[in-house]
Amino acid sequence: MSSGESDAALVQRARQGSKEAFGQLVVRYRGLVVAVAYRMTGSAATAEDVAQVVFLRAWMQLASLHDAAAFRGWLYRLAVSASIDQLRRSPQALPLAESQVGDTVHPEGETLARERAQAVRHAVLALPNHCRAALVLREFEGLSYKEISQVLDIPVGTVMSRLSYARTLLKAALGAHLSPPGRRPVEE
Amino acid sequence: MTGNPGETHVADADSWPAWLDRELCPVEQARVEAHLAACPGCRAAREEWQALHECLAVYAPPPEAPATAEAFWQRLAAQLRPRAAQPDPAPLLTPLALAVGHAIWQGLTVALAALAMLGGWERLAPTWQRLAGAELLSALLRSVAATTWWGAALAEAGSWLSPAIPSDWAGSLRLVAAVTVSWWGFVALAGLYAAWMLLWLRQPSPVRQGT
Repeated sequence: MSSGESDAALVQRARQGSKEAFGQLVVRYRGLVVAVAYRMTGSAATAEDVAQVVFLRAWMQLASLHDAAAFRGWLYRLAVSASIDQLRRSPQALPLAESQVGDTVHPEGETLARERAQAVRHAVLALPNHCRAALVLREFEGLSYKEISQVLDIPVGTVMSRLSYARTLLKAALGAHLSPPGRRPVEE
Repeated sequence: MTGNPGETHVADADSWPAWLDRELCPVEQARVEAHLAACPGCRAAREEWQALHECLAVYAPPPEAPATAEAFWQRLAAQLRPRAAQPDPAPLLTPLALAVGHAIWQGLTVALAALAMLGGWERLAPTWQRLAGAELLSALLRSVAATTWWGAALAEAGSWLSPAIPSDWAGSLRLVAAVTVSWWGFVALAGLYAAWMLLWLRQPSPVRQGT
């Protein structure tokens, strides 16, 4: 289904009612939307639901997207917004149990890595929604401050302050995990 | 943190996160790096932030089979309601078009003010002069010119240099009528301009819509 057609061309065709063109956009960007939603909500199942909502909204609102080439940024916006909506509707969506270590016995190194991953996940999910959104877009999606400011519709200075606040909170929460498992202090 | 007394450590500066994210201008970026080369304290701070960045990398969605996206689309497609072809959105009034329009308007007012000041309009358009009168045209030109600061200044200078106050009743009435009509014309134009601007501003930006 995938082709080398540009986003703008696919959006133009989708606006004309082409489901096939929209399908190409969905296949192209589903991973991006799911990744953002997963990091915002912490649940793979919720991320899948959010992705569905995002693309349904995109289909319905495609006519209001004036710059067809800005489809990717628009999707980021929809993904963050839908994730926050989902968290507001059901705060229990943060699935802290999903990443808990099971009954399986793992080698020590693997266990430490899993503990670390779990700690990171908890720390990120404990951030305020607006800070987490900025962090996800910067740390995981690699967007520039300007792009984040456009996606979140906030000034660049606010992007910086949110990122700074989020990182300070994370540093405090993850202090013991900030070195790789192999180099972790003995007292742990 | 070591360093020279009174020196601001980059790790304490507000721009520190921007340096970490490579968002500073090249000059600032180089300045911070030069400081880091000489300051062990700031280097240690950088290592801590770098460790946080690396630590966050473990927070990733679970891997999926390549066919997942296609399957997702098949499920989604069943829920999409078909719709009629929608025309592309009307082209927006871009900031560039606004700027060009504004510049033309400013230039026009200055030109009119200059003409009014020098009395050139009466010389250039004798037909109009016969139809409407020199005072009427002069007042109209001054009113239009007065919509910008420099236009107003030029028109004022013109009124000092070549006073065109009518000496008869008919001329005075024409002047009052001209000023009134042109004033309301200007108000209407300004209203249209403001409505145009509002319409443009109310249009959603490409990434600001659809929430």
